[in-house]
Amino acid sequence: MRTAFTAAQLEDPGLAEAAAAVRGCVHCGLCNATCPTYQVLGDERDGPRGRIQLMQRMLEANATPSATVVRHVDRCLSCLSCRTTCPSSVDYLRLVDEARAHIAQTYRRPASERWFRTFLAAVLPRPALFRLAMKAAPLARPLGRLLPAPFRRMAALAPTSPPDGEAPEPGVYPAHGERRMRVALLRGCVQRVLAPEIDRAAIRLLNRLGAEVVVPAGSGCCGALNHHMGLEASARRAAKANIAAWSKVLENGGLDRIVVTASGCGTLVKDYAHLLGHEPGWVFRAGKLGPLARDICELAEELGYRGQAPEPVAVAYHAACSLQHGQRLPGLGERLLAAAGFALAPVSDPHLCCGSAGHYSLLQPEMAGELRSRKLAALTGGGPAVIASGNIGCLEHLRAGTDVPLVHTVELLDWAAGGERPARLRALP
Amino acid sequence: MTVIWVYNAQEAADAVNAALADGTTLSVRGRDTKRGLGRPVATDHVLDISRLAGTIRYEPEELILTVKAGTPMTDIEMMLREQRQILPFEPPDWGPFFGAPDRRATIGGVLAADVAGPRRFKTGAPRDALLGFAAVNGFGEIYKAGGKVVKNVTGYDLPKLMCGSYGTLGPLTEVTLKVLPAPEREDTIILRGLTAPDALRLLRAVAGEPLDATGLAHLTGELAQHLEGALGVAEGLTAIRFEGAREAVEERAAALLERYRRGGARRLGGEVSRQLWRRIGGLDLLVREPGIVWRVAAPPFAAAAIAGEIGPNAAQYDWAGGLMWLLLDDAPHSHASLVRAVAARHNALSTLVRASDEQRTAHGVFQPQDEVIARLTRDVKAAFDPNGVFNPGRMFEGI
Amino acid sequence: MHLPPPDLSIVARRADIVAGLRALLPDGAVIADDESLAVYDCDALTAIRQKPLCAVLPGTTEEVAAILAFCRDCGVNVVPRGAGTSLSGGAIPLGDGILLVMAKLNRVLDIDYENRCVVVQPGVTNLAITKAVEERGFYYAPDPSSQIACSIGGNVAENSGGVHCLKYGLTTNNLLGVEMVLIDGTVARIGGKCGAPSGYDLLGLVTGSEGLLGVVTEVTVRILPKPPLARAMLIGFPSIAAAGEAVAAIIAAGIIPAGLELMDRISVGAMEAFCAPGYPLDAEAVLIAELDGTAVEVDTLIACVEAVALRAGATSCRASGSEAERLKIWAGRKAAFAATGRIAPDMLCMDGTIPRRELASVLERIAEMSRACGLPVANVFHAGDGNLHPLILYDVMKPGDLEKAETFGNDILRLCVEVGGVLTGEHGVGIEKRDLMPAMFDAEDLAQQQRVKCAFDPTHRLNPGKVFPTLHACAELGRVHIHGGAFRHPELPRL
Repeated sequence: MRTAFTAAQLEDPGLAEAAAAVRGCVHCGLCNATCPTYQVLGDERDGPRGRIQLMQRMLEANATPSATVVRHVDRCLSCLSCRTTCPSSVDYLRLVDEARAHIAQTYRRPASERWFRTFLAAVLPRPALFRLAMKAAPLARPLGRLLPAPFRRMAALAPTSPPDGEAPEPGVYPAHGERRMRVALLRGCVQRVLAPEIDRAAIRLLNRLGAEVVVPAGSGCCGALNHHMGLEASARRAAKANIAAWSKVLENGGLDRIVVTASGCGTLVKDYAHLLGHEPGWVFRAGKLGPLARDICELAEELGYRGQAPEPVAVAYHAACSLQHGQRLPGLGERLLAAAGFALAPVSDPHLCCGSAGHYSLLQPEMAGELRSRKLAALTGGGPAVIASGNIGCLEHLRAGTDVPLVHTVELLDWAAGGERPARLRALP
Repeated sequence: MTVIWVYNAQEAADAVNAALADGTTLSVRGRDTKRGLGRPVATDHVLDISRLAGTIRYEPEELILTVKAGTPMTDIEMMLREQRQILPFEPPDWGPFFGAPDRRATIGGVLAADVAGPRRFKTGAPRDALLGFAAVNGFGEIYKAGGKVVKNVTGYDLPKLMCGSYGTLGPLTEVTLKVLPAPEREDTIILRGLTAPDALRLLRAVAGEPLDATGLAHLTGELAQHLEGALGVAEGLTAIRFEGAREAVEERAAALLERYRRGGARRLGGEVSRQLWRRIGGLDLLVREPGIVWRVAAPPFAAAAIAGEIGPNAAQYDWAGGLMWLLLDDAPHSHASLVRAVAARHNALSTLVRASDEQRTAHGVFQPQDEVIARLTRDVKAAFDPNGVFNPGRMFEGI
Repeated sequence: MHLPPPDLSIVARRADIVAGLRALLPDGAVIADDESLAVYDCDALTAIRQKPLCAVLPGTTEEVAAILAFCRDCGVNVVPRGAGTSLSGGAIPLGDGILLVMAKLNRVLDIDYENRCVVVQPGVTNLAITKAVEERGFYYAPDPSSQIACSIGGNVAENSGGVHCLKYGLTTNNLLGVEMVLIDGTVARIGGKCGAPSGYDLLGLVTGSEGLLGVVTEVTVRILPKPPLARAMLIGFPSIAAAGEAVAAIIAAGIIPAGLELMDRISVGAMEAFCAPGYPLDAEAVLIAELDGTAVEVDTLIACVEAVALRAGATSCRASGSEAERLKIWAGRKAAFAATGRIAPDMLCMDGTIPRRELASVLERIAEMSRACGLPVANVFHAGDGNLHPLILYDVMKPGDLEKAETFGNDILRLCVEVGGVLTGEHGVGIEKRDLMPAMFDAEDLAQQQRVKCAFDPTHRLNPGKVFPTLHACAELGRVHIHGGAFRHPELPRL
């Protein structure tokens, strides 16, 4: 497509990548067919083809965007289903990331929106603060109308029961038997607070498969949540902290892989080399460590995972967008669950997002709710006993809309390889 | 009433211009074999295009045939047979049904009256095979539309409009048709003794399977008795035809034979099968029975209910129930109000095909149109023939 | 290729028009800000961009009727739009018209297996219809390459074809009925489940009428039982001529394959880069032939086609061994147009039909033209029915490239007509080929078509500037003879 970026603009590498993405678009419209928001709204501005144009013009003009443009870019899930569909290989990710950064820098949001986003950016990536916020949530409910709507909604979503145990402490978790590889864990943020059992299961499984797992104290939030809000500086800081922690692991005993148990994080971690591509002092390390990142299922597959489902539990697998589109690993979760001996229920339209998309579910509750309803209908149609997914965001978002138990894929894989029966399944007869 | 024979398109245009100048009307006819179809029309002159005949271009390897509109069907069929090709819509010979000699029909008439045979539900109607044409309109102009290739969406699809227009939009002078390779082999499985509802259910089921059946018909006992090997009036006859490559037909026919073996299914092959379908398409069985004949096109699922509510003396079902020919006692009222009401209730279209001139004039021939369609029909007619020169009233009053 | 200049008196009334439409419709249904309209300024033909007065997104047939009646009454043009995937500019807006976006009418209304048909709203995509019935072993046959995105309403407007239409027909051969709103707001129900016309074949007439006769608000299509087996063959040839010979020989052998597609080396390269379907990269021409039926039938046909291909000089030949493999072979072909986005920034997709026997010679002439103007061409086409899609590769940012591409495209289409073919096989005339209509039709031919338009839309409000090069006032076209001082048939409307 025709673009009007100036030569000066194109000297900025981020903008140049965004411009290249726009140039590749031939306007065929196939992307709209697989875009969740276009399916719901039928408005060209809420599909990738239209968003590409809105973002293109915003970036070319290099001015403050209008509320209209911001609304439609905000409504994008960044699920990247469009990128998977695009025959012209437009890298939509580069364009939308650049656009979000531009909006964050130039657009002044209404006050309550600003406060909420600031709150999210400050609290979610910090487990201690997030834990506090979750504990305070019940206190917030009676405040009702006094709280701005987004805060109220978030308070309503806080889990009512305490988390299951503790996240694995920093340290070294040795392999069972012969050590085949040395792996560092991304500790993450929100998952540590809401579902600490996931990393425990991951470590158990990896140990059983012969991997020594190091949980580095300096590892934490991957930066994706803030990155998706266009807060580039904050995202880079988070990335650097992780890179530093993993460098230390590498220096003190070697490092073969970095394992990520939340696919929403995995997408960004695998892209750390690009994120820090223009930071001298970090480029080299990011370039070396980024490519070591693996989703937990990827790593399990690499280590030759096999299992035997202890019970004939019918599983509906929800393929997270970050895994199938972001990390371009379609069919991975399904393969592993089949290798574990579970029967998989058929799921219609598996390419469509559930509406979680990081904190999209908090920022765009209507669309997120609509997509959740559609996704749950597709997942629960056959009456499965459990829904499995590889991303904490999806799990928490779907959980709010169904009574069917939701577990992380690795919990089922671990169980089928001799580990504990996932606690959430305990309710079954 | 004078007859004007024309030998080429220009003469046809001249005749139209003359009619325009005089303010006279023209009946358009080929060999007049289907005069009984449609409302009776009285005009000042007859424009006869039967001499406008001959092949313009036949390209078997392109699956294309261009002929003048008055070319006899027998000539076309012979030419295609030599190249092992067929017309997809399997046009039957309705001459005898309408009291005319057989083997006289022209391609122009067949297209104008939308004459299609049993294979229509699978391989299409005349409108699906007419790729392009030349004609004379009611302004005395010779014009063309469509093209000479199968894949064409350039401009409005006027060829579709011409098929089934009963000459009311003007005479065709030249037509380009799509042809198909002739099937290597043909087999028919017949079953006797099924009631119409059971037969229709069976035919619909077969239509819903990927069996590639090309004929799905049922004749009630009164009609089937005229076929050889009849066992009695009560015995209806259900026929399922397969056409295609030898192995495929063999496999499918054998499978169906096996499925309905206990029901007394039998297999007819080759010429016997061809004969049967010629008779079905040509309404041969109905020719032998007196009475009024209504033709009803319906959603297949409604066929049994429609027939049940009308209660004909005999019926021929085709296209797995999508088409019915119903035989009723002759009566001045022609059963029109009953048939029209039943058809309307089931989203079907009824056509009074065999009745006297008086009956057809009194009750109309085609299912009355709803207001909006009637308006569009008038407007489209006016786009081709605003002065009402051609076959006025052949389809509806004022058209 | 250009739009008619907008009527400034209409443009001057824009605010009133927008207000009037807003009064008829729910909040949010009328989009009028410049930024948003810029997103709606073209379809998949990007060579022309034009913002409409406003974009209107109705949700029901009643709203569509109200909108059209309003536009007729206050004299505004209307451009209907489905999914905006038209390659001929059929949905490119007009500066003096509204863009009527049908995307919100996207529900499947009735799946009727007994009558083997499906009733849907026009915004339902082509593939969604097949998906709705595939669990019971049925499908909707016409499959344009854009089928995951293109709308069935758009398919009706363009009479879309696709890879499988050689054996199974175009949209018009698989359509049973439509509900269509006319410019005065009248809702017409044309055809229906009984599959026969009530009088004239108005259904056949409006199919392929490119938004000029009415706006489709409901579609009834025929569904077919899926063949027991379908296998795709991938055959490589050392030259286009050899491939063309093979195509002719296959048809001459009495075989009508379910699909017969030809691609040249350049397009094969782009497709392989997109999804690696395993096309032979060294062949000058690659043929995909699909055969369907029972296993026995398919085996026989495959053997026959292989024999024919080898006789014509094929250098490689393999048949798919599984459904997944068959789909993979087709995935490349179906993404062909857009996949060229990998080898050049922009692409003009042409669409013309020629007699099959002219395949090799026409392609050679196209190659000559390509060398002469310096723009590469990738060729993809429905070899079975002679419908070619030369994809002219250019760069809109290079001055003069777009103009060169358009001239090249026009020359190709004129060549198609010259050798006995037609201007468009399935994409429609739209804006793209409008000015070439006189190459195929005389003045009388065009006048007769225009009269049909007058019967539906006498004030030319629906999609003016598309399909037909010059607008005639209806009165000009409808010469009525006055005989003896009186009109004959006074009850017929005078145009």
